[in-house]
Amino acid sequence: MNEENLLTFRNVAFSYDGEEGQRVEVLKGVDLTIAKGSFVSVLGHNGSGKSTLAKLMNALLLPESGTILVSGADTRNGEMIWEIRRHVGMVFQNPDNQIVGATVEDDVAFGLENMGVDPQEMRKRIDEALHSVGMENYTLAQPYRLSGGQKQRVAIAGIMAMRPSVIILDEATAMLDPQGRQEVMHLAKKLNREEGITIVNITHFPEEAVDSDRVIVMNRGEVLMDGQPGEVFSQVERLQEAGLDVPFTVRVRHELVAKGYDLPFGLHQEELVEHLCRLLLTK
Amino acid sequence: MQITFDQVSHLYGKGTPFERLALKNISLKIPSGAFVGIIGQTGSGKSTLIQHLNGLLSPTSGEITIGDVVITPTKRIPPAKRKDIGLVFQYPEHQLFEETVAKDVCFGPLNFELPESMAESRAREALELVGLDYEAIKDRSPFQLSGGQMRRVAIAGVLAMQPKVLVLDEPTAGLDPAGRKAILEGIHRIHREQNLTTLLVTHSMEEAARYADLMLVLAGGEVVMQGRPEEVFQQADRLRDLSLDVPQTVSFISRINQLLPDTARLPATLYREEELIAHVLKRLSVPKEC
Ligand SMILES: Nc1ncnc2c1ncn2[C@@H]1O[C@H](COP(=O)(O)OP(=O)(O)OP(=O)(O)O)[C@@H](O)[C@H]1O
Ligand SMILES: Nc1ncnc2c1ncn2[C@@H]1O[C@H](COP(=O)(O)OP(=O)(O)O)[C@@H](O)[C@H]1O
Ligand SMILES: [Mg+2]
Ligand SMILES: [Mg+2]
Repeated sequence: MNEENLLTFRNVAFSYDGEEGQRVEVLKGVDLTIAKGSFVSVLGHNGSGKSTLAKLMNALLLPESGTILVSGADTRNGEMIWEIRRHVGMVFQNPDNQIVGATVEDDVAFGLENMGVDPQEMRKRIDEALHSVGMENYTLAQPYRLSGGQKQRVAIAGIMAMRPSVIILDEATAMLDPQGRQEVMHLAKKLNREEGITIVNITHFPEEAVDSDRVIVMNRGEVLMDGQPGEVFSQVERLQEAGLDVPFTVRVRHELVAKGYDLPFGLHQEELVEHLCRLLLTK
Repeated sequence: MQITFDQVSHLYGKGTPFERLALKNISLKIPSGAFVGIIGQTGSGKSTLIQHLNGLLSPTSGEITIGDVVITPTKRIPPAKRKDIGLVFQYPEHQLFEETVAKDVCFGPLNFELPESMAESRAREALELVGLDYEAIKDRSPFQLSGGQMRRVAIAGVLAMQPKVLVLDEPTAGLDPAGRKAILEGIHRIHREQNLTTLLVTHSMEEAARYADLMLVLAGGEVVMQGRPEEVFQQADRLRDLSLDVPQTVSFISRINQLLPDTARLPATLYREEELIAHVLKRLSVPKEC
């Protein structure tokens, strides 16, 4: 399994079975490619199909029509399913639902045990995985004593131990305090940069998407926008119409520009601060 | 309803190896009609604190009063008074259980013996308040909704009870930006119109800044800071030490003020975004006096 395009969606449609046997169409005509090693953010209103997209990426769900390829392997190919799931790890919202082990290392070992990895190799992988998420000093800690951010990092270690190519964070920061959110985002960026892990970050916080390579915006089961953060977040009204928002800095600039002030577009606070100070001082 | 805590402690798992003192001698007073923002690191005791308000947890020691009801380690809140306290749990979607959304939201009102037609009209009102289309969603199964949709249904279930004290434990986690805003604006509106006392636990400093008139900061089972938002958010370093932060407006202003001469600084108390923008626009529109 190797290809530049790690994940490919070709004209994918998906429906859930409704209560009375009717089909409820939740994704239609989705075309996407996600390049190996990229950091992609996915935004979209509640019910727009983000989690469904994520579950299709690791063959938890199969497309109704169209094709999904993971490193070239069709997710409908039953023989590849375990290999695909090992390659595409998922972290969910609630940190308390994802930890199963009595200690941190037991938790990381869980997936490896299921895979039948031998004890020596297992030890090595656990240590590496905990090291990569900065939890090496908590090997024997009881998970319930950890902060929310630490629990999410342990969940990520469990995935790292499986040697994945992609980690999908499905709102993994939604339940965390500000520091926990930062911990998880820093870790995702580090794994992307230093270990070449492809990251798909599903989030409702536009700030988390600012530094990604690409932002995909879902709306009612379709891809509404797909581009670099600057291209996407410059369309303030269009995003707001889709129930979404833009980063704080973009919003403040947008309001000032609407009143006729001249400020260049920027995604980071520092740029706006600098230009606004100049404007305030010349007034 | 005024709420007071007098030296309240809570010990989980007393006498077991998992014994944990989650609240330590908490004393506080919340005036009737206040909108309280509660912030704190995960594990600081926020959920433990608020579960004492509707009798889900009893204090290990100390005393709580809510209006004229007194709760002690041995005295629980009378069942008839319970409907006055609406508690939206953390992960409220775990509480959904009926076959349809409409039945789920009506459950509380029917349980307190409201006639069916009234229960239905309350359910409609509550679902629309949280931004769901009643006709479109009423017959769907709550278990086949997206995470954000389930959360809205669960919040509607509590609002349909029309409580006097509204307690919300991270209600907007997982909601999209429009949903967050719609729900909090809706809650703030009922808070004012029905003169509720509202407690909002949140990890969003911006939400706390926008809605709260009183802030409680928890750390390690104690209330370590309290006061008006502008007082609490002045202490950025202290908040960061507690794994918290200041709203984006506050860090933006402090960065700007580092670059501006003393005489041109922005007031550090502009912690609400629209107030900040209005102030900047005003400054930009008046010619500088020399
Ligand atoms: N098990 C299911 N059965 C039937 N319909 C479902 C099921 N799960 C989700 N849906 C529907 O599919 C649509 C997309 O749901 P999905 O969970 O992918 O949304 P999402 O973008 O992840 O939303 P959120 O931001 O709320 O997590 C929604 O309309 C939802 O009601
Ligand atoms: N049911 C329980 N049994 C034992 N300990 C608990 C229980 N619930 C919470 N705790 C502990 O009490 C402390 C406070 O938890 P909680 O009130 O949930 O905090 P918060 O809501 O601020 O994240 C934490 O140390 C937590 O581990
Ligand atoms: Mg989802
Ligand atoms: Mg909590």
